[in-house]
Amino acid sequence: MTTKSDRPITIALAGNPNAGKTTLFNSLTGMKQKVANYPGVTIERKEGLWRLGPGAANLIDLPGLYSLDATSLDEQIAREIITGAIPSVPKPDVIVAVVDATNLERNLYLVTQIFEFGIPVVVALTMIDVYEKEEHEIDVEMLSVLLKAPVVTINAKTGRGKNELARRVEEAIGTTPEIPYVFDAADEEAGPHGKIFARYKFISNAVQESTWHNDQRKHNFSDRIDRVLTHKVFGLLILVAILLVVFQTIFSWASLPMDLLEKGFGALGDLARAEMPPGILTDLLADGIIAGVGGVVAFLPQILLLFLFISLLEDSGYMSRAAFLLDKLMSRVGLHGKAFLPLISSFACAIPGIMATRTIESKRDRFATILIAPFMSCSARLPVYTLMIASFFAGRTVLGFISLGAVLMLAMYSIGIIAAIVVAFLLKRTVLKAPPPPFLMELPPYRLPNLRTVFQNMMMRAWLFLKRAGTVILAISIILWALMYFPRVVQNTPDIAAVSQSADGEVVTADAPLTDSEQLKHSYAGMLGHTIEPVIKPLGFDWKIGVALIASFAAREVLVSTLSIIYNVGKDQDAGSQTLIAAVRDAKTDDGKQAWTPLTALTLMVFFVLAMQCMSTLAVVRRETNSWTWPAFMLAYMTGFAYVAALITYQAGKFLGY
Amino acid sequence: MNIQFLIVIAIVTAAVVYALVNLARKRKSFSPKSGCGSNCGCSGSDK
Repeated sequence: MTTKSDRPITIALAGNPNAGKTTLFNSLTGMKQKVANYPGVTIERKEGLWRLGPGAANLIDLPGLYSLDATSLDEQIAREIITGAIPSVPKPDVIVAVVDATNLERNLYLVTQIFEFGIPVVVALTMIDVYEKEEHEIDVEMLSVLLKAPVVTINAKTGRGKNELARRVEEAIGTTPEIPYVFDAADEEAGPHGKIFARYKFISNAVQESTWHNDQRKHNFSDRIDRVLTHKVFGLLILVAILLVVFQTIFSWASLPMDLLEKGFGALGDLARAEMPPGILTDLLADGIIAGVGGVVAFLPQILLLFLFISLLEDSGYMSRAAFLLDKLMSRVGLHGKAFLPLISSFACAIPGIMATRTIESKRDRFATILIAPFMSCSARLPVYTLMIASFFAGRTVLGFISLGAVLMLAMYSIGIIAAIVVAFLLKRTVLKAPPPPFLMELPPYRLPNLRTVFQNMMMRAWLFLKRAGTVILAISIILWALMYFPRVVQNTPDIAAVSQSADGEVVTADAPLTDSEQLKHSYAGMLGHTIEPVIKPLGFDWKIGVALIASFAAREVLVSTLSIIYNVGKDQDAGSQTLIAAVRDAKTDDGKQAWTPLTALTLMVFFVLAMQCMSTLAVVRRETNSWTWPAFMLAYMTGFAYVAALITYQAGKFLGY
Repeated sequence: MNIQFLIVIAIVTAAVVYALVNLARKRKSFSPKSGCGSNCGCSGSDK
C-alpha cells in the first residue's frame, strides 16, 4: 500500500507503557516481539509489515510514553518518529493511539498531544475485556464523536476489532485531523501549564460523558492482594518462598530430561568412536564437538523451566511487586526507581537490561544502573550453578524439606543483588554522585498469564540458547579442543620389541605417545593453565579449572563445555564413558588429589556471580556509554571483586575445616 | 599427513575464522555511529 506519492504507507503505534502496543503489533504483523505485564518492555522501535487493503503498510511499534514532553532516551525516540525528525524514517501517515480502557484519562493525555501534530489518529481501545469484567461501560461512539477521531475496541489475543481497525486506518490515510478542543487566550497566556490544564479539562469532560462506572466494582481485588504481597515483611517472605519453590522445581523437574540428554550425548560420542576409524577426526568429533556442545545443550531443560517461571511471574504482574519491594532499598542507596526494569531484564540477559536503561533520564543514574546490571544472575550462569550443585550438593536438604540446591541457587541470586546494591551505593557517592530523582512506580493489574505469551517467551529463549550452542559455543569448543589437543608430544622410551630384533643387541629407542592426561598437560591450553595456576591456586582451583575460567570470559556457559572437553580429552583410554557430573566429581589434580570439593564448587559459583565474563555485555556497554573507559572499568572492578570474594570464600571455608 | 588431519585442520580454521568474523561484526555493530550523539540505537539497521 502506498501514498499518492508512491511512498509506502507508514503507521505508528503509540501509547502509554503497558497499554498493549506490542501485543497489538505482534497480532497485526504476525511477529513475536517480547511482551510482558509491566511497563517499558519496548525500548527501541520495532518495525513490521501489516497487511492492509491490497498491499502492506510499514508498522512501527514505539516505546511507551506518557507524554510527548520527552525527557528520557526512549521517549525522545518515540517523539522524533512521531514528529518526523528522523530522516531515515518517514513521518507516519496515521498514528494508531493504543489506549488502555482501564486507565482512560491518563492514556488520553498522550492522544491529545498527538492530535496537535496534525497526523490522522485512530484510537485503539485495549484491555476492554478487563474493563467490562469490572462492570464498567464505555460508549465508544460517543467517545469517537467527542475526540473527533475513530475509536475501535481491540482484543489482540482474540482478534476482536482487528478488521475494523484496518478499515478505519485505511479511511484515515490522507485526511486532515481535527483537534477536538481549542486553546483560548487564557490557556496561551498561562504558558505550557495552561495547555496542560486545557487538555486535561477536555479529557475529563470526554471521559465523563462517554463512560459509566460501577461503584460496586470489585477493583479492590488487586489492592487486597497487594496489601499482602507488597508488605515490607510478609512481601519479602513471600518473595523468598516463591523463589525457593521456583528453584526447587527447576532442579526436580529438570533432573530427568537433563540426565537423558547427558546420557544421549555420551552415547552419541561412544557411537562416533565405535563407527569411525580411530584418529584425530574422531577425537575432534567425540571429545570436542559432541562433548563441548552436548555439555551445554544438556542444560536446556533448566533454561526452559527458568523462562517458564520468569514469564509466568512477569505476565501475572507479580514481577512489578517484587521490584516494588526492592525499590525502597534501591532508592536508599541512591538508585533511580526506573532501574528496576533494567535489573529485572538482566536476570534473563544483561544485554537487554543494559539497553533498557535508556528509560532513565539522568546520565549518572543510567551509568550506575549499567555498571551493576551484570551482577544479576543471567541465564548463562544457570548451567554453571546447576553443574556445581548437581555434582556436590544434590539430594541434600535444609530443615528436612527444602532442597539445599534451591537454597544455594537463591543464595547466588541474592549475592548478585546485594553486590549490585553495595556497588551502586559506592558509585552514587563517588564517581557518579547525583541525587536520585523522584519516581512513581506503576503497578500493573494482576491477570492470568497468557499461555501463548509464556510459551512464546520460552520458545524464543530456547531457540536463542540452541542457536548460541550451535554457533558460538560450537566454534569455541572446536578451538578449545585444538588448544587442548596440540602440540602432540612424543617421548623416547626403550622399545622392547625393537631390542629383541636388534642384531648387535644395542638398545633401540622409538617414539611412544604419551597418555591422554599427559598430552593435555603439555598442550597449549595446558601451558596456559599452568601459567595462571599460581594466581588461581589460592582460590582452590587447579590449572584445568583455570583453562575453563579463561575460556568462560568469552561467554559464561563456555565453562561447562570446556570442562566437558577437558575431562574427555584428558580421559585415559581405560576410563569408561561417564557424564560430566561424574567426571567433575572424579577429577584429580596432577598430584592425584581430588580437583573438586564442595568448597571449590561454592567458590567457583561465587566467582561466577560477581565476575564480568561476557564479551557481548562489554560491547553493549561500550555502545551505550559511548566510551571504552566504562567497559574497561566494569571488567576490572567486577573481576577484582569476584577474585577477592572467591578468595575469602575459599580461605574462610578452609579455615573452618571444609 | 592423512585425510583426517586435513579435515580437522579445515574445521579448526573455519572455527577460528567464524570466531574472528563474529568478533569483528560485533565490534562494528556495537560501535557508536558518528553524529548520533547519545541517541545511539535509534537507527533502523541497529537491531
